[in-house]
Amino acid sequence: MIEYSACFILMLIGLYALLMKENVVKKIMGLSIFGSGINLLLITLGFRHTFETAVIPIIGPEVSYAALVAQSVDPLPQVLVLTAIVIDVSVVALALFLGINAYKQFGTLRMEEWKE
Amino acid sequence: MIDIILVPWFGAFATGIVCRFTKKFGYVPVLTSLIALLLTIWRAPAFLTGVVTLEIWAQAPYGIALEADAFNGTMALLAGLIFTLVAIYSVRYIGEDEKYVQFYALYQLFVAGTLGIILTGDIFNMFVLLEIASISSYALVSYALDKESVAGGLRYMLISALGTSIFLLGVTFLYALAGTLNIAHLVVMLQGVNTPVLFAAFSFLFIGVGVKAAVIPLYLWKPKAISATPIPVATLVSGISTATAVYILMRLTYTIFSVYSGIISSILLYAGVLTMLLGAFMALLEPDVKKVLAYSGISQVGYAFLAIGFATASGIFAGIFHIINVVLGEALIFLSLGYVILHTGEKNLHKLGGLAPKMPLAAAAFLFGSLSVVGVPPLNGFASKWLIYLEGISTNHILATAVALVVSALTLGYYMKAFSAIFLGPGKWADFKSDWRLDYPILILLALCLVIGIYPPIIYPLLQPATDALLTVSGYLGVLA
Repeated sequence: MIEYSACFILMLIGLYALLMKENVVKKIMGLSIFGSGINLLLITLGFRHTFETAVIPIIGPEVSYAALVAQSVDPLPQVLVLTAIVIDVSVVALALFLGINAYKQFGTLRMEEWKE
Repeated sequence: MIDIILVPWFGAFATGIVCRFTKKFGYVPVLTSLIALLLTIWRAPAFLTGVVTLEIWAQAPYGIALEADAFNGTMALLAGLIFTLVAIYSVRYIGEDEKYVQFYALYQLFVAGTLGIILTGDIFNMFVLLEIASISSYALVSYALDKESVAGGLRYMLISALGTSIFLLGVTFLYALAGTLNIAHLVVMLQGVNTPVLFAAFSFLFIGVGVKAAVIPLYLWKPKAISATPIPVATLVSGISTATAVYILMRLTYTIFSVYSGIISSILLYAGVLTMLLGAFMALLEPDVKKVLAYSGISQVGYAFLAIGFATASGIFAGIFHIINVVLGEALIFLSLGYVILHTGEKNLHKLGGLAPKMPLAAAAFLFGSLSVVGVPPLNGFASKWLIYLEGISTNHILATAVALVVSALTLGYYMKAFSAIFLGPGKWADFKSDWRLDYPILILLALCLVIGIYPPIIYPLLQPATDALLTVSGYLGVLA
């Protein structure tokens, strides 16, 4: 229960930063934190079995195929989160590029003052 | 069916290679969009009578599936047509200079992403392709990198990235409930489920879609973004992005969340009415002509939401018809406005005037396009709006229908104001030499609007199977067989 609340608090922190801060870099950080909160929620939802017996879903020397099927956490949300992290990185990169460009043209990072 | 998505995808990367060999790399988007459109037309008999599926890597619930039924396919045809026409237009409008190579590459990524959203049968794949199309559109909107483009583009980007993240949150909740991501399999797994978690999932998905469709109260990115971008990008973001968002909403409402039909209908009805009113009122006050068109687009999406909110088969028929007509009409208006901006460089209504003698085709196109969006008889908008009014009265939503009629009158008001301010009246401008790349898309769109308007049943063989396919959930489950 506490882990789901932590994910939502992370999302709310990101949302607060995105909405209430005027500095564009802080807004982009807020967007990134919001995305991290969602990714954390997605991975946490994939946890199954108990803390003692759950294994990671990678077949190797420690985890056999049978152990993977019987004991591993859900690997599908981890795949979704990998994709979502890549997407968030791309969005943050593009947003920072636009932010730098805007800073060079407007002279300020405060989005309220980009009026012309 | 994956070739429809892969051809523009590889075309995006091929544009960079082509530009080393020839100066005419601007035609690569035209070629790939045309090939995608022809491939969709080739499959049309198959998807109009059944379901065309393609499974990647594994059988349906375990692998990713692309699935085209009649509704998908009709939307893909519309999108492919608009992409081809706007690509031809943008070769002349944007230019063929070396520095525009990335523009054409991004254009094709946007095409690939949008066609993927329309044709996919897996909801996480839909999110990924939605992000691909969105990121391409962020870059396209701010391509010019001047003050207005960067400010409008960054604002659009922050709001829209938040919206698509919320869409991911909705997908998360759906996965938590059902354990699967395939849309057809979700329908099967969510059969008897009616918990608040499902409603939370729908709310998040609705907000994510609403940001892309620019409904109340999630429309604030749209006016500044449309005003700041070049005309071809404005057509795509205002027309195709919005139509895709409405497609996602209809797919979610009628395929996955059919248990909540009553509540969803009320939400859509209220959202639609408020959107229509707000778009119309804001458009009346704007001096910037591209912002007028942006608000008009917002208002027309309200009509589509209203039609879906009636929750009857004829309502959905009218809604799909209205989306097609709005996309065609708005494309016509935006592209004819492109002549004005290309020639004068001026966006303010107070400074324009008297352009009709210099560009008669653009004036006629603007006039017919705006009459189509308003809903005047020999044009296509009339047919769909008439069906919406009839449906509103027969389902007893008298107030909503009255508001729709009033908003039509207001729409006429601001379009006539824009038309007379731009094209009529005194004004001295130089001669304008037009080009086949500007004229032919406008002529094709004008012909389509007139033909569908004069004889609406010509498009019914596409619309009727689309409505039936959307409402018959069991047809969509064909991929699981």
